[in-house]
Amino acid sequence: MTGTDGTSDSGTPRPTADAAAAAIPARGQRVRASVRIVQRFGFFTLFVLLFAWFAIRLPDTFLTSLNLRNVVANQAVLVLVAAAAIVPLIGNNLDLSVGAILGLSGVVAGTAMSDYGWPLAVAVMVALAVGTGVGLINGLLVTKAGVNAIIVTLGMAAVLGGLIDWYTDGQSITIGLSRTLLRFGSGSWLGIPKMVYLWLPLLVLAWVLLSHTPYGRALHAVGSNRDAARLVGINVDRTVLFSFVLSAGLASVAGVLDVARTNVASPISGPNFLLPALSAAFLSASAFKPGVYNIPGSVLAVFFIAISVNGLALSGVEPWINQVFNGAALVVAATVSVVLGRLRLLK
Amino acid sequence: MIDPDRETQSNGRIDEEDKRRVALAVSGLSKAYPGTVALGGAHLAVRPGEIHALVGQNGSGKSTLIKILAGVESADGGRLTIAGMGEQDIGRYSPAQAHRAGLRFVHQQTDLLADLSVSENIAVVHGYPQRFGIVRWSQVREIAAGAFASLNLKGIDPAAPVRALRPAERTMVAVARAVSDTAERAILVLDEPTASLPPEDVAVLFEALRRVRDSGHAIIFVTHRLGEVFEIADRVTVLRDGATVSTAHITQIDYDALVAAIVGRALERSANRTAAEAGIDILLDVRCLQAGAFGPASFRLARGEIVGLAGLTGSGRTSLLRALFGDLERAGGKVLLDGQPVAPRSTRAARDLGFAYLAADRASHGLFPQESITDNLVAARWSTRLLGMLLRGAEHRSQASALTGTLGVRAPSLTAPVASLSGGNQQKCMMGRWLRITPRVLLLDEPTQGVDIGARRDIYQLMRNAASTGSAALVASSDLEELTLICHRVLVLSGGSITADLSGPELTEPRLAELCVAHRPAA
Repeated sequence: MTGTDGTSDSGTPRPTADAAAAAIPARGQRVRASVRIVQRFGFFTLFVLLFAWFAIRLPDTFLTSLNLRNVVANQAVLVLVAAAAIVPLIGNNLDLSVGAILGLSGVVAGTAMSDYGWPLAVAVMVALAVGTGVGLINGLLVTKAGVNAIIVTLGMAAVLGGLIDWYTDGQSITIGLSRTLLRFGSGSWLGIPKMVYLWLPLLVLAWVLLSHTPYGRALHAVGSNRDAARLVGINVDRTVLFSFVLSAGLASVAGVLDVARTNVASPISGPNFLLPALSAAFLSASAFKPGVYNIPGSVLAVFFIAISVNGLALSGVEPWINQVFNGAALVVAATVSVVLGRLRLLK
Repeated sequence: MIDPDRETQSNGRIDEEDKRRVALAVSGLSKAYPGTVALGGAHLAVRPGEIHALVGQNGSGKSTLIKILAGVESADGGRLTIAGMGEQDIGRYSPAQAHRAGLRFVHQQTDLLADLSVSENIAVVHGYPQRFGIVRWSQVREIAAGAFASLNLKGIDPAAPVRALRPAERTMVAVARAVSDTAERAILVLDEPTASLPPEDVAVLFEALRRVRDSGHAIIFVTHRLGEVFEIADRVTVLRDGATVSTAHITQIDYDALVAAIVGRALERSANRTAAEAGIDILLDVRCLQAGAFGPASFRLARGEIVGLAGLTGSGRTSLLRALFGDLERAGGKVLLDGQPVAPRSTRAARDLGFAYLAADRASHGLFPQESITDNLVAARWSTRLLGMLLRGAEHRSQASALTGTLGVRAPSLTAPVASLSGGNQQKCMMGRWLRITPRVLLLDEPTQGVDIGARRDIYQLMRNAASTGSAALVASSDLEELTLICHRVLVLSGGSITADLSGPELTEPRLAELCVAHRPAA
């Protein structure tokens, strides 16, 4: 029946649940508490175990500072794109253009240095501005025009891919890139890849913004229940719009780092990051804050996959495992977070 | 058709003659949920070829009775006999059995697929006629046309998409679909089929229902609108507090008697109305406001006053509340808050002016289900530091724990998602979210919907506390008893206008019920 008899419909069975909860507080709570701990740190524990297993099995290849430094350096771009994917996702919008924006930013930076000979700082600024501008357009289309985010960003990704191809003629830009940038991409400082000193603070800032500022809570509220968010006085459109801008900003930084790491501004590298970034974003909901997309979770997810792929490769497994692992992790992550989300709601 | 001089006016009894002519008979049905008795001594006898109205207040047990008939809930005791099937084993009665016995249910929101054609909507439930695995569309259309013809329903094109139909026609499609697989006469249960229909469609639907009845089916018609009972029903059964209080032929009962049967005369007067002193210090002055289904209408709200809004769905209650909260654009009029004209253009602006709005549907318009209890409680306004850049997490946590204390919310942990709470506790959190920022005007839409009696009492107390500290509350509710219990004054809305303003000894449940359904402007 349809809620017309409020009292007899949904109201009455509820005291049972309350009574049951009151009757077995100790055991119920202990079970709940342990479920919660498993949910929060299960994935992290898995990561530690996996790391330890590879470290013990492959002490000479896996557990070397060179290999580990390489793994960390290679993921610099991905952790940023994953964060870029998470931001709109928290507001319940899937952004499929993060990879394309990354590619655009890299090509713009490369062109600015190579074709126009602009200094590094200016080239980076222009790349960030262009990439962020794309995010602004995405956001405006989603909020003001009211088009579904998936459609907007899918179309945007295709358009950007085409434009990049046209402008670069499909050629990678390899000459005239700033040496400072390339040194930053390959160098280490205090034994840690230099890029970590950029992405780690950036991600900490993004995490603080999303978890501990009014803006972040508003975005979570919009993602959780749009109508309810509007009715507590949150400006839903502005919140969503900024999430696309922020996402594009992070993806643009990733684009510049991609050039730094690979020594080339490639017209085709962007889209390759989309699937791994989305995998990590979805996987993030199964760590630390179960059921909620979160930045620490995405970093863990990125390195979980990286370590797995690296360890398996060093064990002599074929390289195609990379793709399989990414895809499988995405599906498993989605399944696990659905199941965890359901468990979490159990009384 | 029923024979007019064979009518009985049994009070829940079924006499011998009736037994031979009933399509469905229920007697002594009982059902208890922990803490409440939903049904105790419900009787109902429905004859073939009649429209039998089932009326009663919210909580009278109508829904439970229908759920038992549908086999969704099992009764604790009682007897159920269905023509052609004999007496059913009440403990083992299932939805499949209900279906076999020819019982068909059409709900308020009909579950039709709007993009498919009328005929395909019927085929999707009863199966697509096929040849070699290929759908035979001509036959799909024939079956649909046949279903309408057997019910004497005209004017619906089986090839039209459901989206193109008017609301009454959609209900007719749902009815045709429900009975199209019964060769026998069906017992059709319609749960408030008119609740979401515009007035002009109600007549169309009634005309169709009469034809369905005349083709021999029995119809159980659940409604809150008493005017409709007299318009369409052949007989009426009244439920009150889970028991049948009377069954009567429609010609043998008048309006006042029906209201009396529904409400019961022995009403306890509530002692909480100390409104005499209120009404002096005007807080909110609404002048000729017009928005959505509301207005133009004017009224005033005094500091410390709790004013109820009674009226049917579509009477403009929700439009008024949303317009005051800046969530619905105004078409005209003026609102003065504390003597100052206010016209918030966003919910944020309204909130900052001191308005708080609790929407009727908690799940879709209030909760952030996966967010923690704390996050839900502080969502109306965050405490911040560093120029609003950072949240005061520790302060939020201590506020949330203090709030859950005052609200009486029982929660294992404040970091648990709010969706893990019971409905009553969720609703208390929704109230607490606003009370935390001490609003000046509380706009509450169905504040106790789907909330058990204990939590209900707590919520009333929260409203009274807020009023006693100088806020005012505007409470829209379909539960008339609730309005007489908590309100100093109740405005009755009908078709967007305020048709009555009741207070003092005039404010009684029967009077409200009458005014809500009567569409009679009060003097």
